[in-house]
Amino acid sequence: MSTHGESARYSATALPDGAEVREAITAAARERILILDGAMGTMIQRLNFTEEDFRSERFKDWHLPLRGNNDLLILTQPQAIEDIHYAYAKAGADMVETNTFSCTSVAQADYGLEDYIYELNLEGARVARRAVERATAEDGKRRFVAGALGPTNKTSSMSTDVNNPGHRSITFDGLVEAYGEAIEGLLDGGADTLLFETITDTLNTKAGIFAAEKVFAERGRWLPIMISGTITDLSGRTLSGQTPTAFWHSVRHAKPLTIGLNCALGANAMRTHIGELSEAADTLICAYPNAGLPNEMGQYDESPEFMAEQIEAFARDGYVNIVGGCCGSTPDHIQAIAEAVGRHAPRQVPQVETRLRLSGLEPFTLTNDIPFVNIGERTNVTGSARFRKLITAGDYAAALEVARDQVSNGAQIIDVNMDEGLIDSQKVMVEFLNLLAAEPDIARVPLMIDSSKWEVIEAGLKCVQGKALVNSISMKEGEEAFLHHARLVRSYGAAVVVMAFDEDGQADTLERKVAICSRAYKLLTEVVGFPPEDIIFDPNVFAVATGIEEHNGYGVAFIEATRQITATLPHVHISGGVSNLSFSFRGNEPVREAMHSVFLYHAIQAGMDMGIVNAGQLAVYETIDAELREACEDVILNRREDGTDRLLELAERYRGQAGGEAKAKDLSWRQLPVGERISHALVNGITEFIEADTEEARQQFDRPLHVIEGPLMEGMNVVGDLFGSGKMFLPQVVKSARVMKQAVAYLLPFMEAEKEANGDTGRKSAGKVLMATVKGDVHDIGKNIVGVVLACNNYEIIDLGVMVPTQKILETARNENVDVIGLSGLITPSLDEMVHVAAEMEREGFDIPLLIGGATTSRVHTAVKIHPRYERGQTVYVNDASRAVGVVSNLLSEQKDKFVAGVRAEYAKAAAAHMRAEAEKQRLPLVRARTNAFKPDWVGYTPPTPKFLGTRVFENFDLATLARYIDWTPFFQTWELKGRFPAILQDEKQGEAARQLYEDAQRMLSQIITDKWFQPRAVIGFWPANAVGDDIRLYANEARKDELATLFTLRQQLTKRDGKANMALADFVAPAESGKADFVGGFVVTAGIEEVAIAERFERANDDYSSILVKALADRFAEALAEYTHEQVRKDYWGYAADEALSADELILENYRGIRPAPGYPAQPDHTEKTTLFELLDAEKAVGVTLTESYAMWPGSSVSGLYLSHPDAYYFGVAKVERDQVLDYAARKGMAVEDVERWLGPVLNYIPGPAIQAAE
Amino acid sequence: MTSGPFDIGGRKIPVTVVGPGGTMSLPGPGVAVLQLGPEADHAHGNGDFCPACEARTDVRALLFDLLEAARQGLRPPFGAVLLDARAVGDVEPVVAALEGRMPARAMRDHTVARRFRLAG
Repeated sequence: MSTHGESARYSATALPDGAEVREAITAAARERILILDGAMGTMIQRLNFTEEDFRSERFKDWHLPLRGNNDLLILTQPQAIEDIHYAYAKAGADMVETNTFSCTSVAQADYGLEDYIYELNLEGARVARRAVERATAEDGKRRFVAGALGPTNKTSSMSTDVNNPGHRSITFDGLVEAYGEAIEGLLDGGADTLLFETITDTLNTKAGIFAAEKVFAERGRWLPIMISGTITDLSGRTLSGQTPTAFWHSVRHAKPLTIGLNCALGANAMRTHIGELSEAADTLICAYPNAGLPNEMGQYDESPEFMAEQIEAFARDGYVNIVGGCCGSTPDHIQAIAEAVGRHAPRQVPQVETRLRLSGLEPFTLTNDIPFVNIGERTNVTGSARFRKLITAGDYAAALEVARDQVSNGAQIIDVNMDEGLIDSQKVMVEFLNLLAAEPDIARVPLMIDSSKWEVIEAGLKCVQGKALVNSISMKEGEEAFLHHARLVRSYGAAVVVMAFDEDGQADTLERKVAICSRAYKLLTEVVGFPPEDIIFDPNVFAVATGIEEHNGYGVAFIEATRQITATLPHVHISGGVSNLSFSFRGNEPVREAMHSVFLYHAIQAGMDMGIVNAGQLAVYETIDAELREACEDVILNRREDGTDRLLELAERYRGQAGGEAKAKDLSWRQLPVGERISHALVNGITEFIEADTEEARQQFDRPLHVIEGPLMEGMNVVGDLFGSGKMFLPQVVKSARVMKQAVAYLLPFMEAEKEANGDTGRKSAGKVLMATVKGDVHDIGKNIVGVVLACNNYEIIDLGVMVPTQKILETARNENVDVIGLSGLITPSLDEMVHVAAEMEREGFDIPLLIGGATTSRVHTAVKIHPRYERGQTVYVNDASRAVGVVSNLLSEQKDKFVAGVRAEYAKAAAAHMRAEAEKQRLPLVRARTNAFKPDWVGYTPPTPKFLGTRVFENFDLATLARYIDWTPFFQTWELKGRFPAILQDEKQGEAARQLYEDAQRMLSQIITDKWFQPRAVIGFWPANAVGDDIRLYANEARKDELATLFTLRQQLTKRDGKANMALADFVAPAESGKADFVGGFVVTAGIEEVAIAERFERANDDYSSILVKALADRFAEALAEYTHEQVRKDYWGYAADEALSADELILENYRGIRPAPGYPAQPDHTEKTTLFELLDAEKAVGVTLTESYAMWPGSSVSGLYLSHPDAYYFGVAKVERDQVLDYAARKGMAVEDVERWLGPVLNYIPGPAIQAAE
Repeated sequence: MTSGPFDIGGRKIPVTVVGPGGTMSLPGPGVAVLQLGPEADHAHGNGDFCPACEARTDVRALLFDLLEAARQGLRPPFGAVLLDARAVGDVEPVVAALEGRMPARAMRDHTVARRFRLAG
């Protein structure tokens, strides 16, 4: 590796012992936070060395300029370097870094000094050693030398040419050689540790780690490794694009003594990333940021004291074990930092669960929440004919699209296999992986590097910066080759698939599968030291139903082997190529899909947790034709001798059908027994036959109640399970509930009659849940959905509806003896109302759980504001309907204490994080925010004049026209289907549910239009207006003398950078002093009151689905009307954009001039401003819309807002405001400060209270 | 949300460079303004490699941060960029970076090359 002879090497006897160093540092780090030194370059610069100084005697005739090659000073000015190290040591550093950042052949090539690498590193370590020994001789304190290894100035996982993303300026092997040489010097020079720092490319560092392990093995001596990455931009990613956790997963195999970050502009810029690593990594955390940069005033804001203060915050939060400084820091900084962190205990290294942890650009952890990892197989030339064609034709662009589609369709890992006889597999693997690395949306997932040839796997491993999976290695060539490959996989930092294959061939029986895997496990964990969680066994899936009798047991053998392997070999995983199984049914897709699905169903239960499968071509187990499923099960589980014959016979019937679609409009389920028919109707949401089936069941059972407790609840349990496991989606569940309700409604009269006859009690529910939308709020779609889902799971729901006062909630809860209370709300004042309910529950001695949900609620708000007010019971935030059942069942089970403890711990953490984040946000005093207001050029601008002043009412809208303005994306969000319309209709997972919902919505929509269900109305108005300070003054007429009203606005108080303004809505209106005649508009639109009655009608008919649907559509109509009206305003009534020609889609993207901000939304968070708007428009009289006490609009499907016309107007968020602004605002508005604080509660940046001083 | 009011689909976002002596036009809606300051004065040694400082002055890093800020909702979305490079001594390196002639040092440089183009 090195070109230097043994004689040149340092041969001191007292070279550090890696194990002793690791132990000593770990022990010291348990006691206190250790200190790393500061910048070397900053100190060297102060010495003002000349070219001659850099050269000294030794390099005086060198052919290239050397000034600026700081590392060379090790040889030419060693005393100066030693003195800097010494100064840091005396300033308090426990560890100094060698001056060898650029001492690799790659980086020194610029100076032609490639032949001096070993010597530079050797002497670099020695000079640092001398300095710390000098300091230790004086004070007896032990100090360590970290051998610095920079990133080199080349990158191996990225192209330096943006036009040629597959290009690489350096290879993994080149880096291994370069780092190896440097490491030899550092090792021989007496460094205590190796420190890979300022990492700009994780693959470079992986090569460095590989080199270190190689040198350690050759020398029989090792040193602890320290790893420090760099994050410099807003994305929070390393320069090579990884998140901090993904980066950690990539280098974790080095078992580093420390992981951390350096560089970055100041400690604050590093903070969240260090926090993330601190949580993820079970090793010491080391952080050394730059000392900032000059601020806007031209001063260095990071003085020693300032920097120390920021780093002290890391220490206070328990984020760090070692801290120091990077560029710009000096011994003074280090001294100040040492003093500051000395006051705090070091971070406790957390215990991290043993899990398979991989990474691409983003991390992947195989947790219990992931029952099965789908490994995408479309980028496998042996698995996809299309991909093979593209690759053999050299069409990489199209091949990358295949990879992209897989990832966007949800593949968690993608398998890349280039084993094709006609191509150079190794070369193609490298080219494809290099191109793929430049695609952030593909490279985000981990890769499986798949080949039967080791050379191809190894070449692939040298291309990936993430932690990959190797597929596969085995013992087929004996133990020695197996161990060799396993060690290399480990050194490349990958996880591995091990085939059940030994010298005697592939394992086909249960016994051999288990025996081979057990043997491999022992070798890997005991001889190689391979982490067991990184081992995936593939016990071989073979074809069954081939007609050969010996093959009949292959399915069972795999499933049983899976069971035994996962039971006896801790932490391992099981994978397999499922498509082999159905080899004998090639060409008969329905049967193949059914076989795969049945096989996976059983194998997953046995412990299989990964597989290379095409998820899009997999039948859902529950929906497979029962007869076919039986036949598949017979074959796969080898349950009967004639299984193969029977399946073959049955298979004939399916031949020629497309896969997965065999069940369309099939009424054969009507032939099933009544219980199964009911189940089928519930799962598929079919109401058509439910009354007849219920009647039939009633006649079979003794009592009507038994029908509910029997077939109906069984069916709903199936629905609940399918929903819980992500196989059904919300709209489908709500439809199931509709079937259930109708069945129950049918039975009710019979139950009443029975009750009258013998005074019997009713059915037993799983618990009683009271649900209410709080006082002042009228929104209930989300609440109704949660109610339906809970009802499906046998909870009894008492729904108090909307605008429910606290006392009514508490009284009902007491009288009905409910088990849980659930509160819902959509507008921000509801948040405070919920706090009020919680406090009242505490006061009145309740201790039942309180659930919080609704659009504006959040986990943080619940943790910080609601939870502390209700200590007797537990408050739980439920973020969506799918969580509701889990939460309620936990709260009402014996698990409650454990669950509550978990929730409390989570809230404590969320609250602490919130406090920290808030403390950090620096707000400007209002006075300064005002000086930084947005000031467009008013001189050269003439505001447009509206066609009329005052108000106008519009009615008789054409519903069909309005429907074209509907933005469907929020509609799907209402139903918890997340994604943009129309793409969501094609979504692999949610697509089917979304399409069905959309179809139902379209059907109802056309009914709404033809039967004129809604009567939308709109009122708009325009008034002469000018800005006065932060407010907008409206005038009675164009003379602009008589004031009509004032619209008060709030100003952003965030500290802004890059010359951005602190916005207030008033900034978009010409100020009075400009002399320009500006105007402001306002509107209230509503879909009408009719919606309420229609929704109630559906509810009475036990059709929650339609009830929710009609409300959701009414909301969409109101929004569409707002969009339509705004367009009319721009093109006609205000007319400043008469030529505007935007499509409906462009309108949704708000791609037009002017805005329509609404009170209560981010640009003006004060809901009370609606009062002024409503008075101006006389909205109640004009369109029948009123405000509730919480300023929600009634009827709920209404929209209001202002119109502002300035071309630069945009939607912004005021975010948090300080007390100075609240005082000012209250005075301007003539409102009591406490009232303002109450209504602005969610955006206050301080805790309100009379005793608190104004900000500043 | 992946797209916003000024999402322009697959098209590249035009970047107009205003060099020394040029005049800045008034930015319309959807135009992001980026200012390149003069060389940062930082206490580095000569030749020190500091990715953080580089990110602060490098036009591609700044453009990437614009994209990120819009994606994270920290700033309004934009469909064009007005690059005020009047304080920069020599605009050639800026133009070279935008034309993909400067070596990429980070993944973001590739993203910027795909999402932006030099206008005019």
